[in-house]
Amino acid sequence: MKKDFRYYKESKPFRLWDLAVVGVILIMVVALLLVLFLPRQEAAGVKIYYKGELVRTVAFDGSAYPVLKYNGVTIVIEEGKAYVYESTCKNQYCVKHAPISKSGESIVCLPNQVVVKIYGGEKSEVDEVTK
Amino acid sequence: MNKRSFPVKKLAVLGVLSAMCIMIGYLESLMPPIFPFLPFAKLGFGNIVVLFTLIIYGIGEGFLVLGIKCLVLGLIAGNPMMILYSLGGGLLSLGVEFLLLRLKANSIPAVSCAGGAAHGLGQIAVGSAFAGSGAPFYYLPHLSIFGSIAGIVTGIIVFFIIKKLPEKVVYIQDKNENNAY
Amino acid sequence: MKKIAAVLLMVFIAVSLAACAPNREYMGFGFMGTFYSFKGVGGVEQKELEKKLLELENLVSVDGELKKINEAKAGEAVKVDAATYSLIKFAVDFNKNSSALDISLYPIVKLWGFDNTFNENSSLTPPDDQSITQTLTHVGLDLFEFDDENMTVTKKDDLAALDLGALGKGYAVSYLLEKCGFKEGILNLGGTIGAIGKEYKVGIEPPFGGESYFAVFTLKSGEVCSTSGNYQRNYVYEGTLYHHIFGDNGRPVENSLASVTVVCGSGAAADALSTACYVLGAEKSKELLDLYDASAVFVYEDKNVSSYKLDVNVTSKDYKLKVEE
Repeated sequence: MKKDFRYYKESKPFRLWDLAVVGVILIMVVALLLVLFLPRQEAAGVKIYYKGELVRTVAFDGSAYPVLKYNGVTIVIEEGKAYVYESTCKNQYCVKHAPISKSGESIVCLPNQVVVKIYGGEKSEVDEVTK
Repeated sequence: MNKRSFPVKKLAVLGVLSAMCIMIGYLESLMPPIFPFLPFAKLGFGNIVVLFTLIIYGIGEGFLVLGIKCLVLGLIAGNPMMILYSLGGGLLSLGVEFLLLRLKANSIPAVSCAGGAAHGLGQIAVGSAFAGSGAPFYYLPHLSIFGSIAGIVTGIIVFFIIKKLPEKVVYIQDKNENNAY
Repeated sequence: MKKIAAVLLMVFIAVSLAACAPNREYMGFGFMGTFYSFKGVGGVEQKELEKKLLELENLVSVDGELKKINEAKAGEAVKVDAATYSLIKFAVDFNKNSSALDISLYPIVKLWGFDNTFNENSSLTPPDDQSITQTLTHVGLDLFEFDDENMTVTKKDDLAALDLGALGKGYAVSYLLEKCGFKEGILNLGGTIGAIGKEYKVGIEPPFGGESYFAVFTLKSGEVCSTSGNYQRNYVYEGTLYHHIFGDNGRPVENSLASVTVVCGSGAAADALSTACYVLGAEKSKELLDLYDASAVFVYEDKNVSSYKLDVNVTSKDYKLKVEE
């Protein structure tokens, strides 16, 4: 509008409130950077769940990998893969299962309620496996 | 004579502005992209025209110029999706700039800066809605920082245009100042 | 003022468009006696999903609604939940199409030890012929009377009992994918898998153990797949394997099949069909599968694989795809 035009004609190229604009934009950017890039730091690795809850995460970072035992299930982790070495369950499916290495692959010991899963890294060919 | 019902001058000015906007947008599209991974991120100099229109006329006229630009450029490029993306960013930018202008607390470069950042946010929001995921938001930092800096530059340009432009270019001289459009 | 409101609305819409579909990844144990995992977008929170799972478990489990029927005396009209009743009716209708699925076989299931007492770590012995014959007198859908209007079931025999175990997971998967408002996702309940919103690649577990999967197929949105096999629940006694899928002679079905995977638009049907097709074998299953508009993959003891109306890619070199239709 004409009166706005006249107002802005006389206005200055910089005013105090401009800092607020810059501030808001910076806050928005920083907040987003945190939200987006913090969880992103996951490399590939192994996640172990007991009764559906995540109990241990081991990243494939070239360090010495521990041998883990949860509820009778012994899990061995090596560079880029994981497998169940032994288990107290009767059917031993988890032990017989081949080592897993691709993202999304998992070994489940149903009787002992333990799940070993690979995350990150190379994506697996399948989303789920029917049993 | 009731000039109000037939603002020929405004019509003519808007026509010129729309044409300028389209031309700027077209020239920008010929340039190589600033970010290789974001091929659609252009300089945003079209905002010079839109912001200018907002200041001298108002949001309705600003929306008109913006709408025409997005529509025509999208049709020329043969990519209707592009219309939605540029409109998404453009509308958000328009809204933010209009609000800040109304508040009259900021300088023109700052208004344009906020508009530039908002434009990026709007485009990403559209992108996310289409992708069905939040993935496009990963580029928000790049787009909004770049957009705000570009906004400051275009804002300074608009500032000088507004400062130097004589009133009679865009308004009709009227004895009673009530017919201000 | 109106203009400011309009502008604010534009801003709000633009931003909220992207915010309304959060990514989901759930996992849990102890639901319907097995574990579940869900990966998708939007829909209910994990607590809500698990609450529904518990409700469903109560509807289909022999310790839930069915207990009322199974513990009742002959002649007693037992009213059950509408959902339970409809699932029973589905099974009864299915049985009219093929006697390969018989939910009244529960007395036999119990006799062989495959009911809730089946603990992976216990050792069982198969029953003798006399017990089997005796128990069979309490088996048969003709021993039940169904009242659709009042949703009651009346037994003609005190010891007759129903078991929806063969259908429960499939039914639950279909139900959950429909009612939880997911924009897209894949739900795996103990190996029975359903997809919604988009298609997913699903692998089939090798019946003989080893790698994660031996074949892959595409599960489309709205489809559920279920697998039945002799390797799932069984015990070995004196060198012989006894599994949990019974024929009408009261004994585990003996054929050359290791497993059957069925894909169907209805979860309950997919589940029922995987059991029935295992009993019938590949040839005799075709008509039944057509009836329910389903497709299947049959895996034999010799690791040969045949698929019926399903595009399946065998990725393991140990298994061979023989026949394809």
